[in-house]
Amino acid sequence: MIYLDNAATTLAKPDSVARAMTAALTGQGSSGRSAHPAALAASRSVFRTRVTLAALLGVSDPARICFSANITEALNLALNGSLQPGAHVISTDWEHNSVLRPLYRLREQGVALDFVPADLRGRLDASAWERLLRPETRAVVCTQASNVTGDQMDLAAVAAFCHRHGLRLIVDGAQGAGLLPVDLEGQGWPDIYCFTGHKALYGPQGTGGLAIQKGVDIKPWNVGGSGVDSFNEQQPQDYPVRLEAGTLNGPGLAGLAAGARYVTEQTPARLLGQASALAQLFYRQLSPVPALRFYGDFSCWPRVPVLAMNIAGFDSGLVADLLADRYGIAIRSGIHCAPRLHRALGTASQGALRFSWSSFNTEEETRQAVRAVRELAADLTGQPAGGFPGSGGV
Amino acid sequence: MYQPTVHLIIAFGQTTAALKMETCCQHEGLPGRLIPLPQQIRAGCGLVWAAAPEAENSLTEMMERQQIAVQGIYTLYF
Repeated sequence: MIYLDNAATTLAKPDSVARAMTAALTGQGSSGRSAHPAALAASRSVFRTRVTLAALLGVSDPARICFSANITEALNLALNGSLQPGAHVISTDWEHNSVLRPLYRLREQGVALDFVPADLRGRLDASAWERLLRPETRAVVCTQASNVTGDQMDLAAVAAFCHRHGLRLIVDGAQGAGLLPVDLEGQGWPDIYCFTGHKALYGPQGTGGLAIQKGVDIKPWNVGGSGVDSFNEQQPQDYPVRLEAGTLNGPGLAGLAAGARYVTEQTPARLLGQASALAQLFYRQLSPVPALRFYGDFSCWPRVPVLAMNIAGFDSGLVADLLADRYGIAIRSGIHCAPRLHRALGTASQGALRFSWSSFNTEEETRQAVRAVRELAADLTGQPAGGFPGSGGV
Repeated sequence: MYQPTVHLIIAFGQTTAALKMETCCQHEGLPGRLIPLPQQIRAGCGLVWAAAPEAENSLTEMMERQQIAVQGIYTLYF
């Protein structure tokens, strides 16, 4: 199988990830609950994960790395813990349902929403931010990079907008963490950065969390066991316990630490460069093919290695199934939990084919995918492959 | 060139139902496989069961017997 569905989850991980998880599963107790050797081993392991992520994300105090089951939970914590009825929040058409659905639920509770619109090419209307501002605007929530097109948000500009107007900036880093630079304290933004462990941080599924800027107050959503201050009827207010009720995913977080250490050693810039070069090869070989339509901005490389396209008007599910069945190529079709962007792109009924790379993919895999898409486009459209520019080059 | 054919498509509200369908079909030797949800259908699950149309009776009989919740049964040409 050629796995090009890394925007969903990275399948190939550093060997150290499985080793760390096995060691935690077989040798560690529950973190933060006791002082016997097994519990201390777990506490130290979780702490090392916090330290590794804090360093990677530019947070000086590891206590401001709070873990969650995934980034959806992290975003729910950030949004529900930041917005009160009567507040107004600005988001964008690029957002995943992990942002949209919490926002729509908050709207039912009296939070007002507006979205910076995307055009037919997926470009956001940069002039809309100021236009959408209201006196009661309290926050902006946006993705670091689209999970459909791979287009990157101009976060520096969004942060400047938030700074001018005193707004909290919450960033969905699902597609960016491990690839794009994040430096909360160095840059002074965002206020809350939500990350997932199982994509470009190469950790296991079931891990994610929030990196929180100093002084940012998030009301807890889950409350419960913390292992400390047990006679207190309220959840302890100090991070990370404030947002971490219940037993943590010790084996998962041990794996996340190993993945994050790999990212730190390799550096996000190098990992982005490797995966982006493969996406660029794919795009350059296929963009001249008339039957193919690409979505997004390909003017600047390296870019997040996520690429959306379609073959003429063919159902993306059909094409994805043919790619898997005939060529053993695994990609994601459909709407990618991003309904607003697909509406903007005009692909709400067709969906799109999403190819996404990691640093573990190879040039040969990418060339095989190019050949497969070319063959499939010729087969589906009835246009001879020889008629496609560049058909002999792969 | 790719030749479209008629497919029986069974859509589900939940992924658990789709996977129960696969398990039961494998167990009983019934035809078909899981494929991505065709975009002209809306369903709660992103996987559908695709089979030849002539398998409809044997599949629906099994689904009733195994109490597999179905969201819709379609005949699609693709």
